[in-house]
Amino acid sequence: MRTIVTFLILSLAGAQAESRIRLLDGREVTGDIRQLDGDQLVVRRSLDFGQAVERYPLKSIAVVEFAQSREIETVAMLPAGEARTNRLLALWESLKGFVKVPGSPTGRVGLITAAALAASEDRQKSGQALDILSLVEAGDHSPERRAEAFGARLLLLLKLNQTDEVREAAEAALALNPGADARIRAGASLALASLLREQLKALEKENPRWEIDPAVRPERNRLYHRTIELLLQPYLETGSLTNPVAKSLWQLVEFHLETGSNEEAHSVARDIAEIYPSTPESISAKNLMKQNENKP
Amino acid sequence: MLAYILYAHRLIFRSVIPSATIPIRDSRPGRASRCWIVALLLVCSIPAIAQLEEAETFDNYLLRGSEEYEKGQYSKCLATMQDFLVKFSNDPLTPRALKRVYYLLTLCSVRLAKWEEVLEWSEKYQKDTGVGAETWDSEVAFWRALANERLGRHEEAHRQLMAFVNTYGNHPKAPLARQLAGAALVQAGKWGEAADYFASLRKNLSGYAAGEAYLVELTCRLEAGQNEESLRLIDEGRTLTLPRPAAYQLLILKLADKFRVAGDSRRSIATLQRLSPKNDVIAKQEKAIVELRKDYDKIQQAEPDGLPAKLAKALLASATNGAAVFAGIPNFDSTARYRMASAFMAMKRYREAAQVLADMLQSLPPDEVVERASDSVVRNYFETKQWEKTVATAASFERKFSASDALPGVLLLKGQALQELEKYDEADKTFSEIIARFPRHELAPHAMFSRAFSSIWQEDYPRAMAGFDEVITRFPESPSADPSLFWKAQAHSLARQWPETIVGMKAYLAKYPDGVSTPEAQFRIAFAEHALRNYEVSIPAVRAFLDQHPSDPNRAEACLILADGLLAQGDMEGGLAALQATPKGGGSFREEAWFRRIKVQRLLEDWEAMRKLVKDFLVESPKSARVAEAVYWEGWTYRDDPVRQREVFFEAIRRYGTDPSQWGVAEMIRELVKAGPDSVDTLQKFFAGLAEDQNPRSLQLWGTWAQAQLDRSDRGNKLAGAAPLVIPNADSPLVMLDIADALRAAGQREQATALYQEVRRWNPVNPNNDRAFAALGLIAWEQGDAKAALGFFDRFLKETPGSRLRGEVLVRSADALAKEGRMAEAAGRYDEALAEKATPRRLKAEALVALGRLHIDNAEPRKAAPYFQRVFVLYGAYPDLAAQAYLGSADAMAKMGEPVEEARVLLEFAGREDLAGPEPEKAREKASLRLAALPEEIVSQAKEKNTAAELAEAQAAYDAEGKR
Repeated sequence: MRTIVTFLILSLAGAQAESRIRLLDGREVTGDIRQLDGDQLVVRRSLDFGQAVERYPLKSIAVVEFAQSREIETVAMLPAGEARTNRLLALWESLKGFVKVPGSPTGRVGLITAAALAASEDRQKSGQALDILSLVEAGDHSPERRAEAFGARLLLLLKLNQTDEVREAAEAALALNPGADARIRAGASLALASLLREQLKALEKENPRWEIDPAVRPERNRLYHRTIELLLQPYLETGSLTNPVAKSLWQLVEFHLETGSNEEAHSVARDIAEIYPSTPESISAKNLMKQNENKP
Repeated sequence: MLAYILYAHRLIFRSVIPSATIPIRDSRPGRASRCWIVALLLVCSIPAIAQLEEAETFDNYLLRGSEEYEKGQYSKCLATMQDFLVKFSNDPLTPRALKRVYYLLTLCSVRLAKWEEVLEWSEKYQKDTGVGAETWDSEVAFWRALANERLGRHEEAHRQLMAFVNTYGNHPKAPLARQLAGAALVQAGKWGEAADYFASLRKNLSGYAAGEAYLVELTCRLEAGQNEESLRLIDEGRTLTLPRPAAYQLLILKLADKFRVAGDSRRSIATLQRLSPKNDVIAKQEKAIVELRKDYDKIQQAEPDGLPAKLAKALLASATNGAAVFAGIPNFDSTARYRMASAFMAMKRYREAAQVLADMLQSLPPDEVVERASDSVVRNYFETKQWEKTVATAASFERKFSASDALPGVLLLKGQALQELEKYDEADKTFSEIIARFPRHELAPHAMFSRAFSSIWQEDYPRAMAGFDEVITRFPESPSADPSLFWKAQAHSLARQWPETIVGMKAYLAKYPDGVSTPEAQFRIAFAEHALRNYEVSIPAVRAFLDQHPSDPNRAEACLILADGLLAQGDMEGGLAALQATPKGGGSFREEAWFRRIKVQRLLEDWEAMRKLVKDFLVESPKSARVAEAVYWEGWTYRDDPVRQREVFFEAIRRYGTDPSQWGVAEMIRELVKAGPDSVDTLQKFFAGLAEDQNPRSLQLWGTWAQAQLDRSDRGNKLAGAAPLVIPNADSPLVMLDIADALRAAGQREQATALYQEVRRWNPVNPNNDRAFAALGLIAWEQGDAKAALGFFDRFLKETPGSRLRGEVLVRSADALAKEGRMAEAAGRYDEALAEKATPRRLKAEALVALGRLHIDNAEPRKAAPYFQRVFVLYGAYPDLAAQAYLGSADAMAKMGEPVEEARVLLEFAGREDLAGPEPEKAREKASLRLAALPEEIVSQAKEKNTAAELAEAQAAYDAEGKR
């Protein structure tokens, strides 16, 4: 029995070390992915009679299951901290050359790593996060992930107070044809809405009695309406993009609550709870609805 | 929707039994069968040797039947086999051959679509205990199920097909049987079961087969009324390879409609959100058709006209037809978006509706639905008070749908939104456009009414009256005639034309005794009579109004009027009763009534009553902003007893001074200061006590401010020193502005600027904001920042009209404009300052000098000269400015090429000994140098002219004296 278990462990360990490449013609090969040379994936394969280095054009590959996949999940689950960030960075370094390989987890690692770096207040780390996000945004094989990187980059720029850059990038994305890339537009809407929300907060702080101030009221109302419009945009334009839409709608709920529009907030919360029940935001939405029900 | 399935179903009956399906080997004895038959014949031949001929016939029959079937002669085969059964019914060999015979009969009946007979023969086959080939059993089981299906016994067919699949899972017909089993459920109308069946089936399928099964499942769930499950299922469709994406879209639309009908707008929206743009769907469908065609060609090549090929062909045909149908649907995108917006509207979510529709208006080509939607978007923006968007969308609508029936309504909303934005000229233009373009439209009178109303907003009452008159004359029967007649009279009221108001309101009541504004008209008549002091008329009129309209919103104001009338007539008791009757919900009118009662008691010199009223007021409205004001009146009652008065005020200041929002404390302090000369020491002590009081801070601030009011000699220092005590969001703006002024005077510009800005920030509509804006502008100007100064000055001029500081701001803003090179605007501001009565004289002189200079710079010396002359003639009190004016005038003369006149001006300046001071002296030196530079002859001429002028002047004075 012990022999069998040991054998299994060894087998698993062996399997973990090697990546699995599924080709479009149905064949599957395993091996150690060495590099991406142009558009060719260089793989070192262990054969019965020794080792061989083989090249597979990207266009012949259906999907690659990278050996690091399991480690990524393990590291992602670690508690936040420098150790986790360093391990993520190491993973990123080992994978960043494969961002455009179909099935590559590079983009995912990039997003997690960038989030970990951005969580610190260190500007140098934030800059590193921006570089990672730009790389994912530019080259990831998954359009979804490219869009996610774009949205995350804008939000990070916003945090770094690079508002002009955010505005420029977001407005350029929003000027795209609605059908062009709904995810990119959703990310742009969210980032621009966050920017306007901050501007609105600053304006209201500067003009606490804006309601009775004819000089300030128009601008305040413009920011208010535009923020709502942007947060609604993904929902109304491409409501089927579950996660970005739920995220955007929850921000709208928060915004409505902030601005005292409780009825609207609850209405949107109900949208989230009923239309996007599988999202994390739906839990918050349901809690809010429950709180409202419990109110005397 | 089920076209493909049913089509495939039909196909089966047409061609599913090709020879390949029932190979001749199976339908005629194969090697094994033949051996078996030979053996059988051998066994049977012994007793029947005598009947050899017959036996041969027996065998021949069987072989003939098989051959006929093989040749496709199914009727013949059927007849042969039936004959066989008759002819050899008693043959001992027959039972052994029956299985085969029934099998052939079943197949022939299938071929001939004789479904009842299929059932008959297949039943006999299955009941027969003889031995048959396994392939025969499976074939018969399959066709028996199919026969049931064809005969409409769908549930039985499903049961038998499932039994077939369970027994012969690896049979080549098993995949088909699985699909047909589902189809049977569909045919049986067992939608829920069918949906579950296809859900389970598609787990084992891939590619287009899985996609098609998904579409069938979705259809079934929809038909089963499983709307929730359908909604959940829809997202999965996006991940599958669908052979018919167009059908998928139509199913989504159908589900949305089901939710709409059920009144579930939210889910209807959620469903509609899953729709894709028509062009995308068509593109996907075309791509799928290409793929399906490739699949078909491949299958057809492998097995021409085989069952898989026919099925692939059926799917291709279904996809192609579906694509054509979908492409032919008019306004698909706009209809979908419009339905989504309608669902939002049903939930009263006008914002979302507007956004959906606005997007449509921008992105979709104009069609009927877009037109209808665009009309709604304007209304929705209007509903959510997004005025700019209302205007912009209406303008877009106008461009896109210039011939739309909805255009007048859209333009009307645009005009009203422009009114809300206070863009009255543009609003009027829009209303005029409606009237001109659609003079007979039902909204034309409304537009005319709205246009007249713009004049009300602009306080141009004569124009408003004319506008309302036009509505009454041109559209006397329209719904706008009633409000027009009322508002025409109301315009008189607003213009304080009381007799005309009464005539107008009476005319309104005569025409519309039950009109929308009847109570208001009655009130306005009473109000006008009151304003005319016709109390005999106004009092009964107000009383009648109060009796008839006990809950009218004007009731509180009516009570005040009634009280005023009664008091004016000396009916103190009645007046007080009317004031007391002012309803509590009357807001500021109720407070006003309290203070009028206090005033009445003051007139009646009933101090006790005054004090009681103050106490009662404090009980009723302890949080009123006028609490301190009320206490002030209590203190006032002790004006003959300064000690007691001080006690009252001191107590009140200590009490209410702790609440920074009670700005009325300032009035008490002022009153104390007014009476101060007799009690300076006491006050100083009291105020100093407050100022030193560390807790609360507000008392400390009031104390310091009060000290500054009392001792003006040290006012600046005291106020500036109180700056750290200020809490801008609470304290009196008056106190803060005094402190800011003191800081500015002390040269602490930054602190002053910060405090002025805080005052404005927390009190955006305070009447003292003129001081803040003016000071902020002046500080910026003093610091050389003309642009910033202009920003504040512009806000001053825009937001605080009627300020006593206007003249100064006009002049300084003109200076700033000139510095910025905006000469024409600067000249306009100087002119405005000169026209302003309240502009201080010195500033007017500055404006004149500046205007003179502007004209010189603009190469208009002839225009400049009179400005300078006005200064040195009329504003000698400002020697520095008069001196500048002389030099300016000399410049003007020089530029005009009149050296003698230039010399005359310079000589006159030299003679003005009254213009003393350092600046005039410097100017005089310049004048002397200029005179010295002029030719002697010119100077002599100038002197002569001046002497002559002086003589003429003296003579004129002498003559005037003589006449007197």
